[in-house]
Amino acid sequence: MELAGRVFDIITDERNRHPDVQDILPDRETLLAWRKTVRLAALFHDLGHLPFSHAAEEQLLPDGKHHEWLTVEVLRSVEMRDVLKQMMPAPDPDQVAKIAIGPEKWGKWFGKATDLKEWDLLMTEIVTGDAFGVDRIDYLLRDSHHAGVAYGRFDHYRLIDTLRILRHPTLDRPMIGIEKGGIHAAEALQLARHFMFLQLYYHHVRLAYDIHLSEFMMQWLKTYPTDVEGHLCMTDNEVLSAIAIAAADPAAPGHDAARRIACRGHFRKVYERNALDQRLRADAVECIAKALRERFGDSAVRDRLIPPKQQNVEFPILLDDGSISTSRSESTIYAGFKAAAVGVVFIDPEKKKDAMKWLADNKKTILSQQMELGV
Amino acid sequence: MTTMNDLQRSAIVATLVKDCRARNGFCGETMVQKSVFVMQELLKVPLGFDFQLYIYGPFSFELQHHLGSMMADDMIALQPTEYGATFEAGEQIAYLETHTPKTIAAHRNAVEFVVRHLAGRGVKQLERVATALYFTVTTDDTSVEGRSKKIREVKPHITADEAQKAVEEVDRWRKELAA
Repeated sequence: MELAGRVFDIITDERNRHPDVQDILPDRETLLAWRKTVRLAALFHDLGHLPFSHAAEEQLLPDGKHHEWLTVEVLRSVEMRDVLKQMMPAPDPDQVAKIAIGPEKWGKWFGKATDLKEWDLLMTEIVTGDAFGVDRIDYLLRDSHHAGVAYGRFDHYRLIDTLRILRHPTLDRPMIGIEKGGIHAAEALQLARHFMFLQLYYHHVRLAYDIHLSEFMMQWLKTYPTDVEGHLCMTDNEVLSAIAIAAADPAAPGHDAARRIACRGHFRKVYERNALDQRLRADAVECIAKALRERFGDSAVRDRLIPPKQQNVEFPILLDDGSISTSRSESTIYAGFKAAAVGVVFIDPEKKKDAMKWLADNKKTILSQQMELGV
Repeated sequence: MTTMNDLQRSAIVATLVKDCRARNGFCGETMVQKSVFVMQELLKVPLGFDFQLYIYGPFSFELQHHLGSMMADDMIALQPTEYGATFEAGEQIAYLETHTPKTIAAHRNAVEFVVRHLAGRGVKQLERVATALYFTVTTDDTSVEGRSKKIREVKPHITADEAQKAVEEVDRWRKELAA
């Protein structure tokens, strides 16, 4: 919320307005109302998170819905409407919701992506934007601090100070861009995100615990309470307590997964996606997982495939002479940036030694089998 | 015809990028988005992407994510130019050509059609014609006026004349394909 306010103030400051976008900025009174909407959107953005954030949302929420769907359900609740009504001026819950979750998710579950007009898109960029969204600025700094790793840090003060609303030279629409002087801070954010994902969020041990956690939650809860009250009552504490109980009781639903979490009996990495194998087969991870399942049984093998998160990191850059270029033209980091895909196959720790040996002996054969494709 | 799997989708998109680059040298994300929409909705290539109206007309967030996966697998790559970033075929396009020759051959004409009609157009031109096709396939009103009006309702920056010409162009494409 604090970061959203800072970004809003910088990009709407009269001294920072580029002549090409003067006409899109509303009057002062409307701007103040928007400032509140954007700050609230940032504050409420993750209200829909299930316990332990993303760990089990795909498995537990119905019909392919994600936590943003619950965020809007909470924002539209009677209690939240009452809270918002008491503000002066009172923000529209749906307007806050649109800014909080962005056009993709809004268009998928609640309306149309085109419900967000030019100015709305700028405002949601402040919160959810791929390049400079405060959500990611905040979680990278916060997570790197709490995890004790340095590679998630970057100079967010410099970055925010140099953000500007600029018209993209070829897309011909206003976007949040940056002054040339801030490009290195922006590159540092991009690299920080890359390293945090590969070394922390997608670390194989964390992924293994995600699998056990989601299996436990599915067996313990069966279905997740998607009503607002039920959702808000379900916190990390309830889950941790249930894990402790189930780990001690062999008859409890989810006992095996709970035991693996509580006693560090998690599945171990037996195979990881790599460039050499990907060149042999684009579905190398799936093939290896299938072969291991056939050899060691379904219950002993798990796999996790995470496609690269496509990021729109093409943004305008204000050059010293007042002209506008783009991130991919001015920065070799952005020009060559490619999001990484992750794929890991896990095995029951008791079978790890046998599985490693078997895989070493058979991998070449598994990956050389021909694919049969229809048209 | 059943919907393609991810590898087959990648093969068609990579072929599109390769052919587009060979023809005029620039193939940005808007070009890919609109070409895939035309292939899917007009030429009935079973790519199965979910499209909705967005900033520059029909847009698929699913396709946007798929392009990210293709980049991660070196099937396509981004190349910066003075006009913005263009896609180009990546090192792994040979893999696609080896493993999905039947898919590529079956839809070669569709790829050629979109490259012939769309390559070289700017973002605004692509927006107009793709939006015209969107309303041609999603509304019951088949008249040129009716579809032009719908374009103007969601895209007021498009003039009445531009909207009408875009709808007429889509109708010419349909006649060409029917002949």
